[in-house]
Amino acid sequence: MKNGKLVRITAIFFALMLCFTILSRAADQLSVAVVKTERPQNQMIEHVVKASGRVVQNQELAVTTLPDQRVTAIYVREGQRVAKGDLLFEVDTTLLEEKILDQQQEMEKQELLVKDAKSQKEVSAQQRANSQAQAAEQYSLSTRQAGVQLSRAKQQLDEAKKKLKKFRKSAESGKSSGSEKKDSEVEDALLQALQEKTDAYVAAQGELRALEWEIENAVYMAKQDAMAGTTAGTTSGMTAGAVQGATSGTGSGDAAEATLTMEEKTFTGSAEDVDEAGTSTDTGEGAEVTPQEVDEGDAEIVPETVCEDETFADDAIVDSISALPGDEIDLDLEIESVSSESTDEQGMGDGSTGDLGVNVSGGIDLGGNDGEETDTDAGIGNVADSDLDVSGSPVGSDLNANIKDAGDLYAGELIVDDVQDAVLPRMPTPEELTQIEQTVRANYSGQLAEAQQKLSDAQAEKEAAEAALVKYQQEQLAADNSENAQTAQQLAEAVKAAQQLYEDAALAANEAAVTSGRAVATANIADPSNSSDRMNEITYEQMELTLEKLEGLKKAKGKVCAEADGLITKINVMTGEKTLDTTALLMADLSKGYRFTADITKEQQKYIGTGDLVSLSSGDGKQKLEELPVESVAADESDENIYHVTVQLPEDSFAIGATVNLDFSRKSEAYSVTVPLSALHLDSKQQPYVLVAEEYDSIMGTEQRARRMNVTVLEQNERYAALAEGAIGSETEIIVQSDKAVDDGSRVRVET
Amino acid sequence: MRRRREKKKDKRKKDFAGVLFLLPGFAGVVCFTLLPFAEVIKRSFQSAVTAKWVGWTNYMTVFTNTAFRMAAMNTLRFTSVCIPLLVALSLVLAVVLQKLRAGKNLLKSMLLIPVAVPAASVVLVWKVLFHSNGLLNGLLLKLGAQKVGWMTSGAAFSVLVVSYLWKNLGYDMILWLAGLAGIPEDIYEAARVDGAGEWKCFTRITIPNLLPSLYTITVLSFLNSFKVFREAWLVAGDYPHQSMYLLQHLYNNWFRELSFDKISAAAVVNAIVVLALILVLRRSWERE
Amino acid sequence: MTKKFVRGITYLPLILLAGVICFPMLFAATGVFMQQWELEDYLAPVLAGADGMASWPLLPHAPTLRSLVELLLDSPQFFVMFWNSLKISLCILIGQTVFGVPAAWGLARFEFPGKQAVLLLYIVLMLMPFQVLMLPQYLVLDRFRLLDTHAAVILPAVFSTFPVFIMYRFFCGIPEAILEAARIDGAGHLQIFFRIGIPLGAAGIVSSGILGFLESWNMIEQPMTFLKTKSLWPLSLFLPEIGLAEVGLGFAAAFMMLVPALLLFLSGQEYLEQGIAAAALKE
Repeated sequence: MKNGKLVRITAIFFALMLCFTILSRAADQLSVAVVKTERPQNQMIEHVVKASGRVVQNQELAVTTLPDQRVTAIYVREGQRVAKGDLLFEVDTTLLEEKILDQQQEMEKQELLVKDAKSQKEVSAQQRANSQAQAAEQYSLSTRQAGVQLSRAKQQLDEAKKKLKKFRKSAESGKSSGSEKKDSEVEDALLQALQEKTDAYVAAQGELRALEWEIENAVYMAKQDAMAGTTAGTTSGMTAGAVQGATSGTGSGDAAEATLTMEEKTFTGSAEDVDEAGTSTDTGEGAEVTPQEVDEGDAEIVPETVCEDETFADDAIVDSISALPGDEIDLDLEIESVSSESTDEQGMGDGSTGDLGVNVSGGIDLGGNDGEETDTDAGIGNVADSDLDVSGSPVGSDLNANIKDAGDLYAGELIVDDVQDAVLPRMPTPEELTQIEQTVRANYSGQLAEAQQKLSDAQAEKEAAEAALVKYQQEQLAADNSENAQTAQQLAEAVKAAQQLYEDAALAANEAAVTSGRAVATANIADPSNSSDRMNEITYEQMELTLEKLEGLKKAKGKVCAEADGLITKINVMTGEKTLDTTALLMADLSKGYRFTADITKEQQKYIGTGDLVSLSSGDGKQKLEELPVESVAADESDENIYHVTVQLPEDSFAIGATVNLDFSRKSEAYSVTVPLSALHLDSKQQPYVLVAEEYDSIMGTEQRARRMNVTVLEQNERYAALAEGAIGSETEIIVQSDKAVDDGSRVRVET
Repeated sequence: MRRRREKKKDKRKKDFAGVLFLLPGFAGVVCFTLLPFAEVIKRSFQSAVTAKWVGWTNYMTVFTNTAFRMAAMNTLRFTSVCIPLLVALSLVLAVVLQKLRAGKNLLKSMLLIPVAVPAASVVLVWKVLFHSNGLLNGLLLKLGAQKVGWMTSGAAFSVLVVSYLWKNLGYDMILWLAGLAGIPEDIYEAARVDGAGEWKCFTRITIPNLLPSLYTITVLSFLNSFKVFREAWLVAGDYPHQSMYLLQHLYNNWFRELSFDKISAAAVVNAIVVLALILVLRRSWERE
Repeated sequence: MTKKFVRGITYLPLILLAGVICFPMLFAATGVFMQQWELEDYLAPVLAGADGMASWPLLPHAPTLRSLVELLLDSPQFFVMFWNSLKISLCILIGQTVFGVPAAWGLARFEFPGKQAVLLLYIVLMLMPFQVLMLPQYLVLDRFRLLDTHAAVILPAVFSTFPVFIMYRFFCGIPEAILEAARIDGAGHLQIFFRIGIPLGAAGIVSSGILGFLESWNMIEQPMTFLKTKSLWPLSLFLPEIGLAEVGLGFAAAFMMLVPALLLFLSGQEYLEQGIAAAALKE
């Protein structure tokens, strides 16, 4: 029947549909990812730092013995614990004795060598003293000669003057007095003026010479300093001081002031000298101030000290010379008052005043000598004083200028260079030396120019005075009617010639003083140091030391013992072999404790720091120590990704060299949303996200699918990640595991 | 014949046993349709949310609602166009088919298939057919005609008519065929003996004899005319072109908008109209 | 000759009409054997808004069962809905039979007061479009907490009045003489109903069953209104949701939905015709 067939077909159709239903469901289940979900936990993120490290000693002791000794026996082995005083090894005593003998002989040789060198040195010192004495003698001789010549010239001049006066008087007596008398007074005054001017001129000349000498000296000293490489240590007088002032001026005004103070000190010191001298004058002994005394004072300052201590002597010389202008400033008032007296009265006290000035100036003995021998000397001293007074101030202002100019770039750089050169012990180049010389000369240029100016001024005044005198005398002559005119003329000429002579002598005296002074200074310059004898001595001393050691070893019968409790970590010697220069054996000093060190990664380093309490356990897990503070966490020098953790261990905890595991966990604050790391994914843009299982109403019924949720990771460790709260709540089912790749929208089946 | 059957009926015992047979089914009807409908009637006088008594307000709202007016007009237009068309077409078809000897059953089956075809299965076909880029417009273009916006213009109404005819032609044809089969062949033979032609036979014998069936066919066509909404909705969605916006669309949309007050009033009105229609039809049929 | 010619001529429009009426089914059937790309090729102007006109070949260019296989083996969702549809339809069918047949029998074979009113009520309710009854049904289902269950779709359909109307017509056609004879033999009401009424009215029951099944298989509005959970949906709601991306699957699904209906239609066509015709019979 047709209908029956169709009914059957219908039945078959529905049966087929049933089969397909089952088949399709089976196929569908295969494609669905089976996932595990977890709810976010409220917990802390724990950062666990695990590292394996070793126990090492805090301090290692090196046991050394003398080299080249034969080891006869070793009583310890590596890894052995030894107590303080335990015998470590022994060396051959016979060989030791031989060595000692050798050493003693060597020492004798050395001793002889030292003696030879000493005698050699004494001889050369003697020679040197002799030459110095000669120079000093030469100096005093030449100055004295010059003084004698000068005084002779003076006498001649005076005589010439007297003759002229006498002639005049006789001539006048013949004539009417009155106006004549007046005339002679006028002429006297003129002569007097001429005399003064001439003295001034000579003094200026002397001053210029002294200044030039001083400059040369300063240049030499500066060069010497530069060569020696010394700066601040030695007081190198005004030159160095000036340079130093300038240098420190570049740095700070304080240093400059310090230099100034130093200057003042020098000055004060000298002033005291002057005071002393002044006191002696006040006590009435002024007239008795003898050249010897002056000489003694000089000697105190200059030559004798040189003999005693070369360095100091050098300084003293320079001091005494450089102190000159500064001293004069202070002395100024006193001297002026005295000099006004001396000019008017030409009293004996003047001499003492002059001495006083000379005493202070030190370098210029000439003044002192003159003061003693002639009246005019006082004048010279006076003039010199006042001149120096004037010349002193520019130096001061010069110094100030130096300090002020400290800001000046060129000078600053230059001087800094100098200082650097001086500090660094290296030879200055010729250019630098020239530079130093220029600097020094520049410092003096103002002073020099002043002195030269003064000299030329004095000369001009002197010539003017001469001219005035000549004119007056000619007028006088012209006025003289008589035959006397001829004689008067001749006499005047003679006076003039004597005057000329006197001037020349004075200049020559100056010259002589400077030249011989220079010779003295040269003689005072020290010989180049010779340290070979000292070196010999040192060698000797070293030998002595070695011998002592050898004998010590001998005394211990060649036995080497442990100096502290410890553990032998390394033995470098071998029985029968000779000891080398290196350590004989190494031992861990147990008394100093030991520590644990381990390497951790940079990542781990973030979570562990000094002071954190860690637990340590031995490799086999038998021993465990808790709550030990981390001593340090330091980066490796070579690899910045490796950090070293150090933990000090209590005594008798772990054996040295043992492998120990470190455990530490740092807990963060509690996060309300933490998920296992496996739940966290990163997309191609590095955006972190989690997949959340959510139910949805599908044709198949209630199904679950994965939905992507972007998250912000606050913190994470190896296992968990803390997420910012937001879309994810405590009820959210987060997919943590899946047997297939799951993406946003994928159908999933949550395994329970 | 009818009278005879009525006599028979009169002979039947008046028996309340019939009520027992009816009761389970009727209880269900009451439960699932009548009582809730009573609730709807009550609601039609209440406001939607507060259930406050508002009298005829809802009815006024519905009657003044332009969408309701339009939908009602469309529905009226649709039924007044479709039902006569369908009835006439299916009658012609039935008469023609009745005369056929071969292939009668096959054609009948083919024409009846749409009854069985679920609307959802052919919704894709409708879409492809009536889309502005669809097959029908493609055919029109090939024939040199202009494109017609089937779903976007007044033509949507004709789409509605066509789909209705497609679905119900076979069904109505079967109904007519049953009616035709109820006419005794001897009447025709007697008429032919009297010298009546084919046409005369049709108008004088067939039509009068089919008139009783007309009532049922019209009612069933009317019933099925509501089901055209299914196709219309599947193809055009909730808001189709306004020429095919039927009352069903409107109710559906109101229901979705939860305008229970409006939908209640409209349902009551609709029910009254249907009742009135049935009564009118029945009256005319009983007069026959 | 002329009569034969005229008869031949009349076939032509009939065949043409039959072809037009069957075209949608042919269309759907062709689509089943096309691959996705081929379907997209033809239908893109319609479904994806591409330029040009959609076209449709009479036969697939590259026939394949791929879509069908994919639907049957890889789409468990389809089966869920398929069985949903079947469940709903069968439940409705059984319910209609259980409640409708006695009601129709009672209306047809007994006289009692108010019978005409009930009949009128049934007819009126039968003619009510679903949209009118939607709200009342919704209210009652809501009250019984049946919304979003299959019962929400099944129960109102079980008590629909159309099958009762059809069967009523059939039962009316049973000659009174047979029932009278049975009564004389002493048969009770139930005996008569089961022994005579049902066997004699079987055709009506089957035809109303077929009509009821087709109706419920085709049901869209009711599940759409009363079912929210997708897993409860019948197949008729799944198909309209198919877009171009799954158009191959859509054709296959439409075909699979068509198959049971057609099978039922073909196997019960006789009864169906009888059932339809029964309504047209004079009372």
